[in-house]
This record gives sequence, C-alpha cells and structure tokens, in this order.
Amino acid sequence: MSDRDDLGRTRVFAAFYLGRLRAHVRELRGRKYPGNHSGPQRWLSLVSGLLDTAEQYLSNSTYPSKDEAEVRTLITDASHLCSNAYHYLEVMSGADVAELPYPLVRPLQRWFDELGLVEDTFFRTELLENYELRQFERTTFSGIRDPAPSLVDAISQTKWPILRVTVPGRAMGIIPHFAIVAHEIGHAMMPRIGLSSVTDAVRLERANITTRLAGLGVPTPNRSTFVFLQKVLLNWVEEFAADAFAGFLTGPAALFSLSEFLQLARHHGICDTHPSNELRRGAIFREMAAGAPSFCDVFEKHTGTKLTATINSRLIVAAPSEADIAQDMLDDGHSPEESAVIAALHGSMVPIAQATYGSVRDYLKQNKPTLIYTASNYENDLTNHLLALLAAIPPIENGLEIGQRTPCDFATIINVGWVALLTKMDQLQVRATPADLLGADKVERLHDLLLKAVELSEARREWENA
Amino acid sequence: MPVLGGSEISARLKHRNLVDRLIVAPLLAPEEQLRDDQASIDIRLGFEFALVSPTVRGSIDEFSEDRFSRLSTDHYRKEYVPLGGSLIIHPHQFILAATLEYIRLPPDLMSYVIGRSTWGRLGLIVATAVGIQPGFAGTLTLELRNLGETPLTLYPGQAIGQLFFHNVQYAPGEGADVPGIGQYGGSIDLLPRRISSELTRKKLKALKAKNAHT
Repeated sequence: MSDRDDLGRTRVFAAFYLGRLRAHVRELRGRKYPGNHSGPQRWLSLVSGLLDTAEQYLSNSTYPSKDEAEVRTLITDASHLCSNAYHYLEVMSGADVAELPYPLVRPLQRWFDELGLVEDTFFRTELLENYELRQFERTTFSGIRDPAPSLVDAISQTKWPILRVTVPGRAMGIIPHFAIVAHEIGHAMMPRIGLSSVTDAVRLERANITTRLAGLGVPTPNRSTFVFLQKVLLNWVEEFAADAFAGFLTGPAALFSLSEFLQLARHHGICDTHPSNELRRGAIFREMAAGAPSFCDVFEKHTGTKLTATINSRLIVAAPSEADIAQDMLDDGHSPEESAVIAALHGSMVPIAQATYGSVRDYLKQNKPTLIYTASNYENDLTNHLLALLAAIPPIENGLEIGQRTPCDFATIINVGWVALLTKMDQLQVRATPADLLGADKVERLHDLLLKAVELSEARREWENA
Repeated sequence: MPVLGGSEISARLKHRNLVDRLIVAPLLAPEEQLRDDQASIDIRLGFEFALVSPTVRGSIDEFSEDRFSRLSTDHYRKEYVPLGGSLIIHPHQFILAATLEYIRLPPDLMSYVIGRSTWGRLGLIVATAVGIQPGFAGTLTLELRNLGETPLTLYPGQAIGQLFFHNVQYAPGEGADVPGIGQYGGSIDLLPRRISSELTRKKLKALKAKNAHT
C-alpha cells in the first residue's frame, strides 16, 4: 500500500471519528442540565467549534490539490482536534440532570453570581468523595491554526475562565454537604482578597518557624527550601480562605460538612497543598464560638448539646506531633528539608489562619454583607424551621402572613437540616420502612425533605423574578 | 363535616400553633389561589412526572414471584420539567404528576383534591385517588389521564386542581391529638409503594396459596 492509501485511510478514520463526535455533541445538546444556566451549552459550543475546525481541515486535505506534507499535517491536526474534543466531552460528564438534581444548582450558581463571579460556570458530578473547582483558560481553545468561525464566536462569547465545579454524585451527593461548594467558590475568590494582615501574621511567626525548622534539623534553609516554604504557605492560606468563605456563607453547616468530609480520608490531612484537618476545623470552630450569642450558643440553646471543636466526635483524627508529621512527609516522598518545612509550618498556622479569616470577613463585609450567614440568622432559622422540619414540613418559606412570605435561603435549609440530622432524628415524624433498623431510611426521608425545600424555595424565587 | 371557607383556610395557613397549622407551600400567587369567596385553594402542577413505560410483563401483580411484575418503580420513567418547560400528554395517555405545593394537613383536617373544570372540559382527568387523610405530609401525586382526542401541553406552575378541606370529628380522646403519619407521611415520591396493607397482603397471599392447591 502506498503512502497515499495510508493518508486516505487516516482521513476516512478522522471523518468517521468526527461524525461520531458530532452525534455525541448533538445528543448532549438535547439533554437537560440542572439549574438552567448557560455553562454546559457554552462548553458544547466550544467543542462544536473544535469539530468544525477539524472538519475544515479535513475538507482542505483533498489530495492531490494540496502538497502531500500539507495534507498529512491537516489530517493529523484534524485527528488531534477530535481527540481533544473527545477529552473535553469527558470533562463535562456527569453534568446532566440524570446525575445532578435539577433544583440544586440554582442556589449554588447564585453564590457565584452574587459574589460577582461572572465567568461561565458548569456543575457536574463524579463518583468520588471530592469537591473541586477547576478553571479552564481561554488558551485551552485558542491558539488553533485557522479556527472555524464557530470556534472564534464561541471563544469570544465565553466569559473566561470557565469554572467547573465537581461535586460527588449519587450516594455521596448529600445536600447538607453542599456547603462545601462555598469552599470551592473561595478558591475562585482568592485573587480578590486583600492579604496584608495575613502577611503581617506571617512576619510575626517568622522567628517561630525558623526555630522549629532548626529543631527539625534545618537550621539554615537554602533557597529551594525557602521557595518550597512559600509555596506551602500560600497553598495553606488559600485553603483557610476557602474554608472561611464556606464558614461565612453557610455558618455551622460548613463546620459540619467540612469536618465530616475531611474525616472521610481517615487521615490527619497534612500535605504540601492542605493544612491539617485539625487546624482547619479549629479555625472554623473559632468563628462559630465567637460573638454573643455565638453559633455554638444558638446550637446549644436549640439542641441542649454543647458544641466542641471535634464536633463532639470521638472518631475525629487529631493532628500528630511535629516529629511525626515530618516523618509522615518523608514517608510520602518529600525531602528531609521539605518534610521539616511542612512540620514547622503546622505549629505556626493558628494566627495565620485567624488573619486569613479576618481578611475574608473584611472582604465580605465591604462587598457583600448580605451573604454572611450570622448567628442571628441561625437563631431565627432554628426557631422558625427546626420543629417544623421535625413535623415533616420542609423549610420552604419564611414568615406566617400569606403574601408576605419570602423564600428560604440555601444556608437556612442546610443548617436546619444539619441540626435535625445531628441531634433530632428520633423526633422526625416521617414514615420509614419497618426494616429500617439502622435508621438510614429515616435519614433518606430527611434528605428528601431538604431537597424539596431547595426545589420549592427556588421555584418561589424564580416565580417572583419572572 | 363542614367544609372550610376561604377565610378559615387562610386562618389555618397562618395558625401560630404548628400542630394546627395547615401547610400548602409555596403559594406562588396567593391572591389567585386563595380567595375568601371560595371554599378551596388552587394547587399547581409540579415538576416531577412519571410516565408508564412499555413492559413485556403481563401485568402488575403484587403477589407475583417475578420481581418486575410486583409493584415496581421499573414500570415508570421519571421526567423532571422545570418552570418554563412543558410536557405533552397525548390522548388516552396516563401520567403521574406531583403537585408543586408541599402539603401538610393538621390532625383535625382532611382534604379532597378535585380537578379544575377547565381541564375537565379539555378531557384531562386530574385525580382519581382524591381523599387526603389527616396528618398527611408531602406532595400529592395526581393521576393524569387525557380522555380527550387532542394532545395537551402541560406546564409546571399551571393551576391544575383545587383542595377542599373538611373538619374531622373524633370521639373524645381519639385522633386529633396524634400527629397522623399515614402511608405517605413526609412522602415526596410519585411512585406507588404498595397496593395492600400488611394484613390484607398476608391474608390474600395465604388464600392465593390455598387456592393454588385446590
């Protein structure tokens, strides 16, 4: 067989691949995506633009009107574009309504909107115990030679970077945990937060860190160790800032959901990208315990239970000693210097975390004070909705007077849900199956009620805005 | 059993005592749905629908050995239609649909759901299982059937039926103090769970077995 035959077969295969991808995109375009936001369709427009470009390459690859080398390049590039398109379709798998409850996305999207994150966003699920925010920059789709007009249009109409929020699907897609989406939003908000007070806190801790490093065998850190220290510090500050967003937007729901989710790893959580779970829990708990009345006071008033930093659990994994952290990091493949840096930083993070929370609080107070969930909100929500929820009445609206009722916020729904879940399941008046010896069916009924509350409060809001 | 008038329904909807409070929420346009000169409250079509799927099984039989022939969710395909979306019910088609409103009846009230006459004139039967027991909590499942000859486009949020409320009279010391949680208490699922009660089921199964041996 000649090279020309080879090229012909490759061209046919590329066209065949392209046709199948187009069919896939058509099918995806016809699906419903939760929350009625533009993100998924925008993403599909970009993928379609890639496919149009690939088709353009294939149409121009007619031999012998073109030079053989050019034909080869066009066919190869078309194949690469198809491969990229295939990968980008995988990027949005789990985004349709079969995987993600329809009403759930709208309140999450509203957090983005109200915080001024105007970038195109889409939500999707994955069968992983993980919440994640990923940003796709314009460069993902730009820089392509001779792009089809549809690709150029799609790129120009997109608000970059596209934000993709991944949440756990199916069994782990549990509504009260969705407070963690506010943590992911915190990552997107990070560039907007003024960190001067954090820098001051770091400066004050510098001597302590140096002393600890010396104690761990690194008396004079070299340049690369110092660069690593800065990188870890920045990563950890970003995690605290993201946690702070979750805490300020959702109150105790953030403490409960983050604690539970961090605990799933059955590990202390320390690595170069994340501070220890104990530090994170402690930082958010300090916010919950601050003020009069504090969130903890309100929780105790309505449940009779005094809330602790370990969320009253004996199963919580504590952070190990500095020496053990250093050893764990060595075992994870870090150099002795890097391990010492991580262990030394651990002991200095409480004031730095506090400063980070302060910076986030200041930002929200100045820019979006109405988004802050306060202890007073918590008190009102538990007073108005906790007993009702236990009587199988979901928190849909606030107020008694007909015509003056307002839809409940997502933070209200998940906070009332958490209190019922943690302390009141024995009082929940729903019918569970007689075989529900472990109580799981009853929890599922509570989950149904919370999902219904989200659906109907959002419907109410949508109706008012129409 | 007196029927509650419009102002009495309003009073029950904003009753300070949670046990006595009637819940029909959200009322998207209360001025339309609830009027003092009417003895009912309008309810709207919700977002969840269950369409009966074609099946190769002979029938739904609660005593069948075949799992799929027993009352099973496999007989239905669920469809979620948001506000602004629509769904077409074809002539003679049968669809289960949820009400938009979440309803909780206090222990001393029972209710009937009745289709709106406009829909009836278009051939749409809205509900056949119309009685709602005291203490019920959940969304109502409407059994929609298009008896007309014209396809009908249904939009979530359309007024689809009316709820009438009656006081329930108990013998002294019975009923009204107990928050009643019936078979569908706190239920928001459209799909049927069982046909017979445990007792009836046990008896009928025994009779079926006996009958098979004679």
